[in-house]
Amino acid sequence: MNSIQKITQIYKNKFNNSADFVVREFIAFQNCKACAMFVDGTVDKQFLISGMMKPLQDSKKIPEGNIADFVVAELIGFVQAKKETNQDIIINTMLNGFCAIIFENTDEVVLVDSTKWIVRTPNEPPTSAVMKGPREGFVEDIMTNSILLRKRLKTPDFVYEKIVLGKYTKTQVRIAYINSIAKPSIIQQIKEKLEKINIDGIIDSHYIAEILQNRRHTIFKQIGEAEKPDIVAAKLLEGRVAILVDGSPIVLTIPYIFIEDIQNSNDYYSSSLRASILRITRLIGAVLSILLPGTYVALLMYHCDIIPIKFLVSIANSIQGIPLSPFLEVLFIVFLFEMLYEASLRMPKYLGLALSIVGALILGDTAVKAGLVSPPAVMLVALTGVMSYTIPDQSQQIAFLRLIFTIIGGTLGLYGIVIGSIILVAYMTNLGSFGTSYLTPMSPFTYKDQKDGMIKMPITDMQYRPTVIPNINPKRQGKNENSKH
Amino acid sequence: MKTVNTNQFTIIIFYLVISTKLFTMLPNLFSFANNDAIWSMILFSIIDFLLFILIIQIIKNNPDTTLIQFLHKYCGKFLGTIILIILFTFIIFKLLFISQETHSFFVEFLFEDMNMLAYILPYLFCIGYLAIKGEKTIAQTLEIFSVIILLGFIVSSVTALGYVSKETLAPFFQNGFMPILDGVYHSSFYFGNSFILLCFMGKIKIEKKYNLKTTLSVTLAFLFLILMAIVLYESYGQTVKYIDFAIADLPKYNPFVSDVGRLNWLSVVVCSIAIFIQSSIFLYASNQCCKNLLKIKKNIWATAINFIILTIFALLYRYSLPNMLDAINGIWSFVSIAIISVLTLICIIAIIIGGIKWKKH
Repeated sequence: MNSIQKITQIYKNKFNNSADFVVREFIAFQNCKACAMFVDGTVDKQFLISGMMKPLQDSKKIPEGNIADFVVAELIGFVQAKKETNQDIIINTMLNGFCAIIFENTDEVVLVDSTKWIVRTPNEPPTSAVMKGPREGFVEDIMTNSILLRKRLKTPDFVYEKIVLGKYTKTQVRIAYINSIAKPSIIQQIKEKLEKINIDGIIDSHYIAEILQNRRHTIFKQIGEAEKPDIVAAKLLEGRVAILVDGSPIVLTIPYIFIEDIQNSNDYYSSSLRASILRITRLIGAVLSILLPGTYVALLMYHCDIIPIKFLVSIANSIQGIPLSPFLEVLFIVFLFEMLYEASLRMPKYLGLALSIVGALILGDTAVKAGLVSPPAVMLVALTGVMSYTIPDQSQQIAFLRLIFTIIGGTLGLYGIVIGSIILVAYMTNLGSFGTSYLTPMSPFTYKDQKDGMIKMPITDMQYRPTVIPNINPKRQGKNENSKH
Repeated sequence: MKTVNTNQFTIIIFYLVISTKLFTMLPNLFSFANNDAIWSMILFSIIDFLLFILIIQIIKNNPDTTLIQFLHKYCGKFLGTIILIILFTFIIFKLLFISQETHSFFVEFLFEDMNMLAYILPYLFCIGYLAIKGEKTIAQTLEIFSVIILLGFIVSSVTALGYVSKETLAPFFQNGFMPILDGVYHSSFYFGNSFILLCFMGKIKIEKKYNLKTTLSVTLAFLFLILMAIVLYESYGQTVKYIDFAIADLPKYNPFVSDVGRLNWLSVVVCSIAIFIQSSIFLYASNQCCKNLLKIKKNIWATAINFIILTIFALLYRYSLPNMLDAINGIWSFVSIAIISVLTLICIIAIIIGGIKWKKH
């Protein structure tokens, strides 16, 4: 067994003779035995053959000194290449798509970047569709995502910091920020928290989001999520910090506040007046979606006298002969709605369409005709179900709260609804992300930040960055002479 | 740590002024002073206004001093503790009163027969949650709801002002000044809420325009109360003294609102939110007293002790000693005035000493 075979055997053992660990021996510089090692599927084989092995095989110039130095400096200098002796580093680098080249009678290994992962093309994400504006979305590859952001932030101030997390997954995580805007203490806090993570694997950015949030058990998310580079770039310009995770098309943003869910990228690509109206509509939609079924149940069961008489007569006619109480009836439909939703999400697309038709038309209609449920209850739950998507990022939370408020309304009436609302708001005031209150700029009310709060002023009026997002460079723009009030 | 900003403190002051006076005070005033109740209202508003201004100044002059430090500084350790016990008792009785009032309110408007347990458990849970979370949560929750509450009050009562005729309250001083003073005396329990603010000492960020904002808040709150009293009398006339929660049913008689539709439920919901948050402020205040008296660090234990005290009083009132407590109720006006006087005296002393020190500097 020659020296190359001995070395390759060591690496084969390290990889437990895995089938995707490839060892390819060849002759370099006409008479020097060499070997290329890589993980199959992570490298560009075309490049390996034509860009790396061929120059080594064809080279007639025999290196005089250190072979590794010669190869790195002269033969494959146009791609990222380095020499290394540490076995662990060599293995980790190979796992990240590098090819390791060993030469006979040399201790040093040359590592050449030949990465080629299977990458999806950046498409419009299904959850962040826009009428107008950029349609690019993040993909599962961290390099592509980094490039998409860099394309929008062409400044040396925009910085990526790399951390590798996960004992087995060795997932690359990048902290992105604009160092002349983001507050250093926030960056430091995030870095410290990330460095403390001790986990076997990071499969998606949600793993990191869950670890980073202050409260473990919470209804509302405390870390922002974005699927589009234009949104993340805009947030970075406000002083936020982004976290990119390899293998995840979702980029995390910190700090995160509730108003971000009311805002939509469409708002910035349409008129301010329309954007403001839409924001208010979204909030009202979400609030009604949470409270309406519970209030309906409470009114019918305990406070009929509050309902105007004409309306009451109409409802009474509809619910006549229904075997279930309004509470159980609404609860039944809410559960039915959630089950249909869950089933339609997980079913194959062609079946999902059929299921939605069956669910909406046949099940609903038949249930009403059979006298199991009343038309107002079906309409109300369907309406609130649709309304919950006015804030798509919070739709799951809204669905959960709708169920809770239905139960509260059915057991405690309006009294319970009022108490529930107060506790919900109080709970929300307690949430926060990296020192920023969740409900800000509504509470604590910040006058300056109302320009991009529940209402949206023209971009020319937003001369300063939001004060609620910690930053070290508050001024955003000078006076734009062209714009008139 | 200062967790409540000046704006939030301003809102707290506004609701503290109107809170206990919303429901039963106005009918109570009318039962003693008839149509001169408005003058009773004005007289008491002036006194209470001055008390609020006094406390606001004390908080401004002692931004980093907590309640117990303040009392020890100006009254000494022993007397300070005694006064804290008096303040604690004052707040607990007010809280008990508010709890009963809240129950009656819901029985009147939402449930014909409300199970006491079904009422008390969610009520205690709600106010307990807010009080345990502390002044920051209370302030922020109130801040979020303030717009809705204010809007509700405006819709239900202020919009009716346009329909008030000048002759409604006339003739003035028909029975001399005694009924006015009588009204003031028998409504003393509804006042003195300003001392609750002392429990927020050391937690308020004194920011720009503190004086202007807080004074404006107190002034507007009292103006609002007087306007509500006028609207109430206009709507109900002499029968107002028999209707305890007339204010919540006011939109029914408001031509502006009845033209739009039936909005009295809005008033009921808004009033409910207002009284829950008000109760939590009182519980928070009693928590602060309890923590200082018993050297407790965690809010949750102070809340538990307060709940036990409240339950004992509620049970005594309901089952065992109604006569004795009725007697206490009878002398409450006098006790209330005595407590308010003592606390006012201390605050005046603090202001004078503070002024002397400032001059020396």
